[in-house]
Amino acid sequence: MSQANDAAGPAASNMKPVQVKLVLLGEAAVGKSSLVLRFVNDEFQLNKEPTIGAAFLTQKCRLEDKVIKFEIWDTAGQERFHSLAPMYYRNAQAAVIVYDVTKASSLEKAKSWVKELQRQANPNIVIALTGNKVDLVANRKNRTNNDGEVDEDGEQDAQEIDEDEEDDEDYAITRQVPTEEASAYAQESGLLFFETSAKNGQGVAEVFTEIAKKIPLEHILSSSRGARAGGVNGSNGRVDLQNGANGQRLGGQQEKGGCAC
Amino acid sequence: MATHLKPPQHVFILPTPCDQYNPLFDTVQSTENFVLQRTKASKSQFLNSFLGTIQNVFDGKQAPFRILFRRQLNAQALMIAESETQKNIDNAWTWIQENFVLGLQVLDDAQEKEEWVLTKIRSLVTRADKGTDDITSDEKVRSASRAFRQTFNVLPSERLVSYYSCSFHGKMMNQGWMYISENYLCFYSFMLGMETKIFLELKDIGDLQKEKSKRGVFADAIRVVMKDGREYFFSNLFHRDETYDILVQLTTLTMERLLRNTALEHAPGQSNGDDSESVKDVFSVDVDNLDNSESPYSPAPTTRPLRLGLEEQKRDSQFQLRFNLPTSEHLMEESSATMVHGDKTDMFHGRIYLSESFLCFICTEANPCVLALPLFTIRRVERMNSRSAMYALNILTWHQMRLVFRLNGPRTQCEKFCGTLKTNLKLQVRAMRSLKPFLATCFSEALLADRPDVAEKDSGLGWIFEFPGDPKKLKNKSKTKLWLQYFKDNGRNLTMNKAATFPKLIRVGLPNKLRGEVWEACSGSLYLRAMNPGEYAKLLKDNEGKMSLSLEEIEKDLNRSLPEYEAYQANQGINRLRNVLSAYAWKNPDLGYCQAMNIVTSAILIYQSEEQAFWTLNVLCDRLLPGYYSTSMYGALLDQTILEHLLEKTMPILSKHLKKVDVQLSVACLPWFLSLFINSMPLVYAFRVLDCFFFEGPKVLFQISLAILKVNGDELLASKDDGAFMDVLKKYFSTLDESAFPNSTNPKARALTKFNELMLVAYKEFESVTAEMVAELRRNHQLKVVHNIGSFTKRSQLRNITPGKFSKDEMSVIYDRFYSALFYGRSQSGRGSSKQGEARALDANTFVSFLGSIAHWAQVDDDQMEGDEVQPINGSPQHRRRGSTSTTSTARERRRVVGKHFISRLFDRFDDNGSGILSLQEVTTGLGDIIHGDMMSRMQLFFDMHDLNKDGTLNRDEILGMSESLLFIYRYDDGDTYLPAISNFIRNAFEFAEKVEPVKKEEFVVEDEDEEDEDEDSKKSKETKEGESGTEASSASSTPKTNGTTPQPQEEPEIQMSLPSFRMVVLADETLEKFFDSGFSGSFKLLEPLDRQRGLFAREVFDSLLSEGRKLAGSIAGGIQGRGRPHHAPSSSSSASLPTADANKSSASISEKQDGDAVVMPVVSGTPLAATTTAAAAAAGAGVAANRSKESDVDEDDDLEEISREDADVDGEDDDEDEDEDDEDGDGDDLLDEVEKFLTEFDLEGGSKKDLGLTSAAGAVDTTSP
Repeated sequence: MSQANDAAGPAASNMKPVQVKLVLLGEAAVGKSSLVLRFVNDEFQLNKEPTIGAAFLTQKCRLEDKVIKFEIWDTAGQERFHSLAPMYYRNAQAAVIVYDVTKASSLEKAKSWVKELQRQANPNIVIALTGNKVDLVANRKNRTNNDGEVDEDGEQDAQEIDEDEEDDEDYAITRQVPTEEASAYAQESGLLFFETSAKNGQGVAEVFTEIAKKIPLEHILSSSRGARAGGVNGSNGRVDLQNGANGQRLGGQQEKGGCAC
Repeated sequence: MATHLKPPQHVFILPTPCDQYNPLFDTVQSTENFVLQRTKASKSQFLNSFLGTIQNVFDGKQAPFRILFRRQLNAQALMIAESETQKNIDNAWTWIQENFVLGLQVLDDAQEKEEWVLTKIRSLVTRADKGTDDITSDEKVRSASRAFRQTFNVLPSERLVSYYSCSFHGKMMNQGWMYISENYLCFYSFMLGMETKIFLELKDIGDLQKEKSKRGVFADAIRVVMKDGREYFFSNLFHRDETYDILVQLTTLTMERLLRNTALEHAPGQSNGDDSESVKDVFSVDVDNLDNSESPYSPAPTTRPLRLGLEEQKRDSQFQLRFNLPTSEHLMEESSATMVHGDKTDMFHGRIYLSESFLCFICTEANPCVLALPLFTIRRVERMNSRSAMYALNILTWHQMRLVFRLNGPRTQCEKFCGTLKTNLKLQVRAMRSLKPFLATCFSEALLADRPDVAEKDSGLGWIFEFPGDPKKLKNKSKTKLWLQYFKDNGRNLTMNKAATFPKLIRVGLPNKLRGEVWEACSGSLYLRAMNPGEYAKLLKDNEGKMSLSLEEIEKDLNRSLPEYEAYQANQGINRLRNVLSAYAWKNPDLGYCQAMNIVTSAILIYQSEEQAFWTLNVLCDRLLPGYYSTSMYGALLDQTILEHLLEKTMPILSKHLKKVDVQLSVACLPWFLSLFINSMPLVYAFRVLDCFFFEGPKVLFQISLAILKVNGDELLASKDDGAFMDVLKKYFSTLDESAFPNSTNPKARALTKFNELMLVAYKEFESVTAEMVAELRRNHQLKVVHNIGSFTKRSQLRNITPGKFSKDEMSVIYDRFYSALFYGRSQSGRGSSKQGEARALDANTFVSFLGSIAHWAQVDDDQMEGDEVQPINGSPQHRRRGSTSTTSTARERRRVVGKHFISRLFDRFDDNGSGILSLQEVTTGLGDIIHGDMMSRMQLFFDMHDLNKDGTLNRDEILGMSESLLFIYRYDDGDTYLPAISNFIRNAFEFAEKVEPVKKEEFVVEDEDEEDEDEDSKKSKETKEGESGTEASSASSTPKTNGTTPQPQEEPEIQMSLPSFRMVVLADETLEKFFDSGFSGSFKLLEPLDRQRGLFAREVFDSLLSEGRKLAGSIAGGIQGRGRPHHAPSSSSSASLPTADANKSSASISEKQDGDAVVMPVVSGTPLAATTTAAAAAAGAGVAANRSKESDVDEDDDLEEISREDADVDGEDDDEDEDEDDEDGDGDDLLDEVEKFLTEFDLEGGSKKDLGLTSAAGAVDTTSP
């Protein structure tokens, strides 16, 4: 998984990357933007400005012999921005729905997002449910309770936090969403499931890698090749409007995705 | 002077002058003072329709009957009553004869007579029609409103706004009238026998367009497009623009209500657990001012036509917008005027306006200026004697600025202006006291006094933490100097005149320390702060320690607002930000807090103090960015639509390209608008944009956005997806400080930054984007946007509803009806005031209208529900019962009570959690149980609903209640089928119920109290009747009064019917079985349209039938108790002491009128002591009904109504007591035979095949038939 996290090297840049549109959804202040920031720039800002409307970021990564370019739409979390969300999740091939493990209500919101995506979005969308801020609970000494998820990396990270804890006053926050509960829900709804910490990076890359694995990349590639063969793409640098208009279904989007690489 | 008779309702009108000898009317009766007239009854169909056409085209609709008062003074006449039916007018005529003739004899003077009559009529009308257009002072509106409400089925409280003659283009052109009311747009035409009616709900209008008619020659048409795509084209509008404006204004108000309607369940800014009402009144016009407590003969004041109120509202809001005034200001006087500024010779020609606390002047000529002078800053006003005898006002402001206004208008106008000014100035004296402390917080004062420091708390964070950007580079010093001079010349802060140089000074960017104050002066928040001293502090103090959803949201974002600015890394900045945002959330809990407000507020707090920022935020959210931060964010979405529209108009190629590559403009532009570029551009530039924005308003945002797109046009054209699109813009913003022309040889051009270029492009190339244009575009697009939001909300709400077995389409209908009921319910009750938390739930009243919109039987005509409040649903059963059984004097009212309580019990059933309100889910589940449940569950439902004391059985009253409910539901159906069924039901129910010892007497005691509610009149007449018939008392009746007042009931055995017996009784009757099997569930029509107007006639039949039903019920009960424990109906005789006088009377009255009945009725009354079965009575009643319904098919005649009314009049007033018409004959036999057959068939004794519960019922039967 870790090799996929690397930004595309010079070798990879020669290849045509596969474009994957990904949208982040979830309640306000669960750490959507931080998650993206960790993934894209590998950094963490404690006080990240709330996203207004949505932020757009891209990140390339390698999976086996392919290069994937994630186009990430990081959306605003406040409830009243909800009506804007369809603008961003339309045509998305993947969604990361984020909740805060220290806040039970955020899982409820996540569930309603899942419901909405399953009904309104691209029918083949790959959805990953992600419990963020595990650093806050992993920090507690009794974390042996939820041993399942925290591996050795996690332990190390947790110690790192202990050191740079100065601005983290509420490290003693209790976990409100048990891993098992969320995991069971994810399984029954057919979602990928992760617990992450944008702060220490735990599990972040894995989210994107697993999504990349699950998305039918071959399909996207082949359909984009097909498009090229049909002379739709490439030379003139324009997407065939006709195709775009007709292909509201996945095929159409994939063509579009392919054309822009 | 008056008899006990009540004056007939809804007949009298405000006295209106009219022509006594109108050729269209015939005089029917006349006395010395009054004339009764009716329209000429023409023989020929053609003439009829011709007259109709004439009336329609020239005069709206006229009622066929009217009463005039002859004025003796000038031989003219005043119309005092009009009616559609002869019966009503006759009643009115009789009433007049009884009440006026005597009085008029006493009075001699013609003047006195007239006054006396008119006062009386007026008081009648104003009492009866309070809150409706019938008492508007404009006589034309009054009659149009009557015509409107007679033509269309609207609530009486619906107020007509305006009406216009116009043509509707359907299959052919129809000339007719367009009526515009608060909620509807209607059209009516009657052309040569062809009637055209169009009824549109304003809330469903999706678009309004001005169009040309007659092949585009005349600009006199309007196209109305509904949200579902239906289109209507109206032309020949002589006041097209006025019509259009009114429609736009009304739809705008409607949209605001719609948005509130679908808003969040709980206002986000509302304190948790705080239930105080937040009243927002859209129609804050005048109706509410009506005095409720006027004495019967002092007429209530007439109301002004709604249209005037709306016009005023519009004028005021334009006035407020032009001068950035608070919404509390109303335009009072205006005049054209010339202003001379101080000692200078410059003359400004413009207009002067006066409101409660402002004197405003605007000049739009070559040398423009705008001045809004708060009256409390005026030191002295002198009236100067000017040469040309013109009025001139010499005004000295607080800052010693001398202004002379010459009023150029007629003398009287000027005098009025000066008079109002004087009054208003006096009222402002108190406000002057707070002026001095206020000015101490203004930096301009300090600057001019040459001590450029103000207290820390009165200044922005920039004073402490430094301002963004390099002051030298920003030329801060020289800019300050320029402003200093400007203040000296044109006044400062509150008294500042915005002269020609003002915009230039703004556009070059404001100096740091003055920025906050000039923002205030530009946006008008300065006035708010000056006029509401202490309010900010009070808001914070009053709400200290309270929590709300918004406060939680604010808390989350405090550390995330301009985190790179030093102040927001410290408590000082964070606290200020928290205070301002929470204060606003408390002030406007419906909006609360929206992300992006934190960014904007944190930015303005750098230049403004907390209090300044608070008021600026107010102006921002309320006026500059309306609806941006609301829970639906419709304002932001609307402006995105407008931006797209503007892009299409100004840069068609780019617009086309974006569509082609499927990039949505708003993914990039929405954040610009929401956070005013603050998190898109580097701060220094964002503040430059803000400078312009506060001065010039939202159009700046459009200009700059378009300029950004234009400047980057080439690169954007090259980008093929939204990713690339975003990258281009991101890169552009990060290079705003770079030279726009780095390769230019001209050093000046090289010095021009990209930001300078952007501003140039914005102002030069997009000059055409004006504030008016933006306002117009907002008006044009708002309907679409609101409907989009509506359908989005609908989708997402429906997603969270468990639909049960309802299909998607059905759910959609339920949703629409649900919110429609809420929408109209709210506008009606208190006009917009609603308790928070009920935003998304039906209360008892709105539930009635909801049910009425899906089930025909639940449609209760307006006067049924109007007036008395529906009982609080969650009151104790006792409480509810009181309301439910209060005896009423007419069958009509009785029906109302029955209907109301049936529906309210249904409400209770639906209300799972006992919250007293119904959510969409509760309604869905409740309806689903009825519609998709089986027959047994529906029977159970009915049983439970009528088992008021929850003892698991139905007692006598409860059974009667059940039968009344059934009558209520069936009332629009054909009487033949259901009446026998229900009478059988009652009989069987009493037969098969178990008898218990008479123990329950408390019930009656409770009800006795209700008796007091009863009308004086009916009591009286009751007593008379009792005297007449005397024997009534012996019958057990359903009326509590008889039970309560006569000693007879102790021999009456109480009965109990269990659920199984109830089922059996139902299954014994085909009609009832069908009802519970499919009839009731089928009565809810979700997908097919409801037949709304089966109307009047059926109701009248119901009136009489219900009274019959009650009589029946009573007589059966009487029969039963007389018989003890009867087991078989045919042979048993009913109580011998049954009264017959009333039966005779009523039947006689009927037979007089209608021969068909005369055949039947005498049979009934002719066997006074014989046992006549209820079934026969029912059959008789049904016969009446059938006859009537047949006739009604032929033509809906007034006579029919007359008969049934007569019926009600004679014995209807107390038919609760009329225990009569007992009869038993073959029908009853048949029925019981059938029941027996049924029972044997199912071999109930040996255990039921159908339902085990039935065995016990069979057992009951067994015991009764030894």
